[in-house]
Amino acid sequence: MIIRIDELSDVPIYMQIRNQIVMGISDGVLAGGDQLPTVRALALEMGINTMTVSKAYQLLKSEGYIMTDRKNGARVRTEIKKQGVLSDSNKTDLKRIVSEARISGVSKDELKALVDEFYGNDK
Amino acid sequence: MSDFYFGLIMFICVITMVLISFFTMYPRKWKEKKIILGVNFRPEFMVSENIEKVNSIVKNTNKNATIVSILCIVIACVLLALRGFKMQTFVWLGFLYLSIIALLVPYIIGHSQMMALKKELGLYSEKGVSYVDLNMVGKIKTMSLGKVLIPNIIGLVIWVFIFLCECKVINIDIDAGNGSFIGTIVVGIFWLTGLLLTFISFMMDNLKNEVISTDSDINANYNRAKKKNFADFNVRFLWINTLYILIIALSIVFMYSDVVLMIGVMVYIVPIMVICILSVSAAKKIEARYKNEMEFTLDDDENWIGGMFYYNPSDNRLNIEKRMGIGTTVNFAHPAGKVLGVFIAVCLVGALASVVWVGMLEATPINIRLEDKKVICHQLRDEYVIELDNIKDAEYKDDLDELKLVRVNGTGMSQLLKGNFTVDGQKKCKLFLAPKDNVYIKIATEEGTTYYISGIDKEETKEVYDEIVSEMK
Repeated sequence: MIIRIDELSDVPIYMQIRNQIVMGISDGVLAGGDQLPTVRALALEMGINTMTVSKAYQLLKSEGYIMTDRKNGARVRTEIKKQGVLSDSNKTDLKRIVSEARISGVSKDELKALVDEFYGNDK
Repeated sequence: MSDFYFGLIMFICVITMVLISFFTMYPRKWKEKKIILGVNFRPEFMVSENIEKVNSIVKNTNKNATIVSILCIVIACVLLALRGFKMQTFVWLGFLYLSIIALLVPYIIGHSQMMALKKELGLYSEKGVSYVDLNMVGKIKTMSLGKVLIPNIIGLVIWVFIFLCECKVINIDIDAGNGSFIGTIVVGIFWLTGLLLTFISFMMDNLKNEVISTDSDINANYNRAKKKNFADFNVRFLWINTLYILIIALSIVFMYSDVVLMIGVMVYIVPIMVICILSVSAAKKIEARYKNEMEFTLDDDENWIGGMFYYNPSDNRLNIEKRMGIGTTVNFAHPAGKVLGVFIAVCLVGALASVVWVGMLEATPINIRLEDKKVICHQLRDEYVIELDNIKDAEYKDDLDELKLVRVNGTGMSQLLKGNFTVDGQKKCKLFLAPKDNVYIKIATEEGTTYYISGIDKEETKEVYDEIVSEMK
């Protein structure tokens, strides 16, 4: 799985790592039980501070996407808790995206088609 | 004889450096390259109207580089005729510096033209962007301790053996001067070089993996191939280094001479140059093999000053893969990189300054004269003044080669001895002489210092001696 980091982006680096790992899990690129690199190795590879990677992993752990232990490092959870609801912050983000799409003249069908594409028809 | 070998060694170094620079820095088939004159290959370069522009820049740059390279080779051939160790050191080192700079000039011009072309085409670097393949992190390793342990142990054993011989713990007569510990020093330097090489090889094995494709297998194979090439180079270098340690140890024990050491250096340098060429050629093959697999490359041209020096304050890494040739460079924006940069600059300037200083010492004649009842010895910034009233005794002698001179500090060149020495075990001796004519004036002073001085030639020495004697009467 390829992670793209943009240091000049408004999104903090730890959040970029978190978001892309979540997208990887959602797309199936990262399967349950997959090993993630150690904090130190990933920080060294990215040329960033270990604290940044650690923060991203802590966030992923607290959100229930990954589990960590001293012996095995970080792994993607085999069973991610399905809450069945969108968080408030995600609802706000979605509302913003829909609003921007409407202002830009993107039709509801086009937006639905995009959602279908990203969500996947089989799910 | 050693002059000839020294010239030959420098000649081989310069020619190999010129050839490697020429073939690694200047692209002949730019369409197959990942980096063109320090600028990332971009698909936009392949648009028909741009092909001609890139062609023109590359062609002109290559033409200039060819002229500079041929000029360097011709000058190197001429310099082979030089004799005189000090003069050779001075001229060859100066020429080596100049040829490196001269070879970089067409590259820097070509690079700035390519950057201007990028700007003209509206192409910009992805500043601050980096890609990481999670499947490769920490997994692509080609070095192991087993590969480097044996040569290091052999080198250490030889070093300890020479040290014990020089300490007389092992009863073998060393040919390289008793009590000087020259063997321990020389072998130690090369063993430490091997150790440094071991450290560098592991550092190179930990370099950031490059992401060229969305397929992790391609990324892994590409990076593994590159790292294996680095590792092979370092391990071969280490074995050559160990072999050289063995050769110098044998020469130190059995037949120590300047000529043998020079031949040893040549035996050392030639295989190193060969493995350099092999590794550069392997690196080129790897790039050519994966050129078509490259779905995207990270355009970070703006982080490379002149296409050569990496400067990226946002990057925490110190060690970065080089853009041309093989090996690594440092991030000069990193605090340690800054220190290293200053250190390298000081070393380069210092080496050049010391060569210039030695050249001036060699070129400036020494002068002794009698003036206002004082004997004045003068060369460059050094001046010894001996008051006539202070002279206890003065002798004119011609047995300089029979004296045992040991330098405490100062200059000890074949044509100039200047500074504080012990002479036949006697301390407080100051020398200021040109030893070529074997004559000198020995001046003992009331305060206990003994001066050994001479003029530029026998006549001047005799003349000053006569003046001193007549004045003392």
